[in-house]
Amino acid sequence: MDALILSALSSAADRGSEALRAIQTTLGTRGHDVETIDVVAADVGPCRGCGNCGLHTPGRCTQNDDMQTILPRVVRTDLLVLASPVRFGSHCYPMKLVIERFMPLNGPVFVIRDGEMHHRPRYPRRPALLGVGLLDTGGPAGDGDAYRALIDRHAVNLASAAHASIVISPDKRASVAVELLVRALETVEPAVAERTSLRDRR
Amino acid sequence: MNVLLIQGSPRGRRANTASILAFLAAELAAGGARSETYAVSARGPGPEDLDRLPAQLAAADAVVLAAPVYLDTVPAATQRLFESLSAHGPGPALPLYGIAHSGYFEPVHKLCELRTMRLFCEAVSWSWRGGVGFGGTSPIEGRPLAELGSLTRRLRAGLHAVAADIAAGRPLSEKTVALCSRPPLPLPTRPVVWLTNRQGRTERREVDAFARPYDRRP
Repeated sequence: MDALILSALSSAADRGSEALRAIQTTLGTRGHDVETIDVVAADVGPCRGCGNCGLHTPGRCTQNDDMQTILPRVVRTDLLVLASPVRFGSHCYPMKLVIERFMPLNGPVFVIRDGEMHHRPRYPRRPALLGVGLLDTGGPAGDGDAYRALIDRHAVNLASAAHASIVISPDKRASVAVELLVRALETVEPAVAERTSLRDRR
Repeated sequence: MNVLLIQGSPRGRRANTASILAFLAAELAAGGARSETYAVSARGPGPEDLDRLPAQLAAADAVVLAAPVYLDTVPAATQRLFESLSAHGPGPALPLYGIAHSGYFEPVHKLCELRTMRLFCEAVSWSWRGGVGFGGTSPIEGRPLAELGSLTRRLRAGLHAVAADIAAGRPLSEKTVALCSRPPLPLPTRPVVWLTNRQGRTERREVDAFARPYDRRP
């Protein structure tokens, strides 16, 4: 089972490093092949909303930056982990910059999914999604709930095979964070295993 | 009354957000309020912006932030604006009105974006005066709203109500929010999907539109 961690936790100093190590170790001990990309260090420009990836260069972004190597990894992984400090109920800026460049993963037609209009996914098998949000001391009270709601929306938008999210508040001990992580992984791993098995059969 | 209109789209003058704010500015002027616009740059505010923006905020009685929905919430450039203002001090407490818009008709697509705007307000101790979400804005393509006729009739009616609330110094009313939440055309989702897909048929035939360039391992 391949797991790709897109991490912006390097922007959160020691707490971020600890959280990233916990995610990597927990995934590793549960049998995932883990790859980590630090999105803070990535050279990624903003989505221009040009629509070229829909019809002019189908499935590819015309911007020549690190998304050219990140996007194929997102497509091929079985579990996509978005790990970021939570800012106003959302991802921090470097993570947002990267994930809004996911447009090439959308197909050029629309469907109704969960009763809503959405792009049809370009790829038939999508990774499961796990959101890990690191809360700040003194952030707004609704930050954690808003972050979880955002990951729920991403799962609908990206047509994820399964999804879960956790938020780690500053007062949580590392062991509690790992417990939350394990519980979240138990939710998504059946879908991850199914995807891995389908991929191996091809 | 001075209103600062913040354009949260990274697409500059070509942005649909620019069209929306231009119409809102005219409506505010008709109601006796002055406005000026600050547009975030594609990568979010740089040092020059952060020199200029505090003066604009200090001169404002109210702020309107309008932004398209990019993957469920504000574009990265607007996210960076929030983080920069929060880190550098946002100046005096101001009332903030939010406008989220996207091509999708359903209001649910705008909820996370409006929530992020509200949480930003709470974090910097500004006053959240409510937010509205408009759907079906893709066909605007940066043109003046009036040029699109019936396609933007409901959008213009909604912005007219938003401007009236702002000019009166009150929070957005439930009536205004409900007015803005209406789809641009009175159609259920299924025919909208059918019509939208029908539009791109010819272009899709001419290219390998359903290509999956990253499908296989190298």
